[in-house]
Amino acid sequence: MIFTYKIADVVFSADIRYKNTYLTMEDYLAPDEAPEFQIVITDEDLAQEKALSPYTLPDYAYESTAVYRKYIYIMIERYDAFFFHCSSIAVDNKAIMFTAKSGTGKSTHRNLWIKNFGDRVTIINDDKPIIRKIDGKFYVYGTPWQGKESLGSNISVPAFALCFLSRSETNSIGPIDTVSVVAKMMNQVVRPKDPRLMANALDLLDEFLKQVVCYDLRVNMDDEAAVVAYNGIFKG
Amino acid sequence: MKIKDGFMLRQFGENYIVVAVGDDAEDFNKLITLNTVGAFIYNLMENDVTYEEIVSAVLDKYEADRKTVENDINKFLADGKKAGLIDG
Repeated sequence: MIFTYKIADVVFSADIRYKNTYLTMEDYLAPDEAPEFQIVITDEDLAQEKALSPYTLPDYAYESTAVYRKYIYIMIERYDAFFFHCSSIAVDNKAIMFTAKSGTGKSTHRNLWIKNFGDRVTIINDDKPIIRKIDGKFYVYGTPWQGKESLGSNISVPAFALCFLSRSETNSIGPIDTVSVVAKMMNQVVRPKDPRLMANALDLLDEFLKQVVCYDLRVNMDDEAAVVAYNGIFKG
Repeated sequence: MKIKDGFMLRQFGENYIVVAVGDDAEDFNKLITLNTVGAFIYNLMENDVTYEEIVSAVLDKYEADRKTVENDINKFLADGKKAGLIDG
């Protein structure tokens, strides 16, 4: 069945076969809006997702990621958008992104923010939010694809801070040099094979890095970690 | 001499960084950073140029003696070859 969705302020339709996909994407339905493009998932697309996956799951489990793959490529090509793996939260309508190698403790750290700052914190997307430039400003958008714990909300929040998280005995937050930032981001963002698209993606990344403040954030698992990070970002 | 296909020089803030593009990009995790002179040489070498052409272009552009310029270029070429950036 064909459904219409609005994700990152872009309306598109997708031909969905499986209920699982419908439920994953339910919060983003936009039945009254006019789609700008349509996504169709073929048997080959599902087979490709299955081949890429480290797990062997039934076909339906791969439909949603197949939709995501097609959607994100169109977003990168046409809508000044990109994504990278990070846990993103909104605090007082400012988006803070935590990125780290998997297993570093992004989720633990994000939970410390919720524990310390309660209702002031909203999870935007816990895995790979879409970052989009609109009228020269970058926004972090929630999407239906929101990680293992499926945490996120259908909101958009102005991009504010990007924290490169690592574990440490003691808590500290400080500046990080541009070359390290670019090196870390290059490992994360989708790198289109077409040189023209690649150039666009890099220009977008450069603009993004000028708008957000980047931090080297070293934390342990104590409550104090979130307070140190908060103070560095908002009072530093 | 020429920069190989599959690389792209971009400016991030104050920094010039060479990134890999294309099919081999997945295997390329190391970034090459350049100073302004390096970036200037890189741009020249996007076309096939001779050593002497690079020297005179750099001398035209920067206030420096030939010896210094040649040292800079030699270092760029040595580093670039080591990084697999240069053909010929």
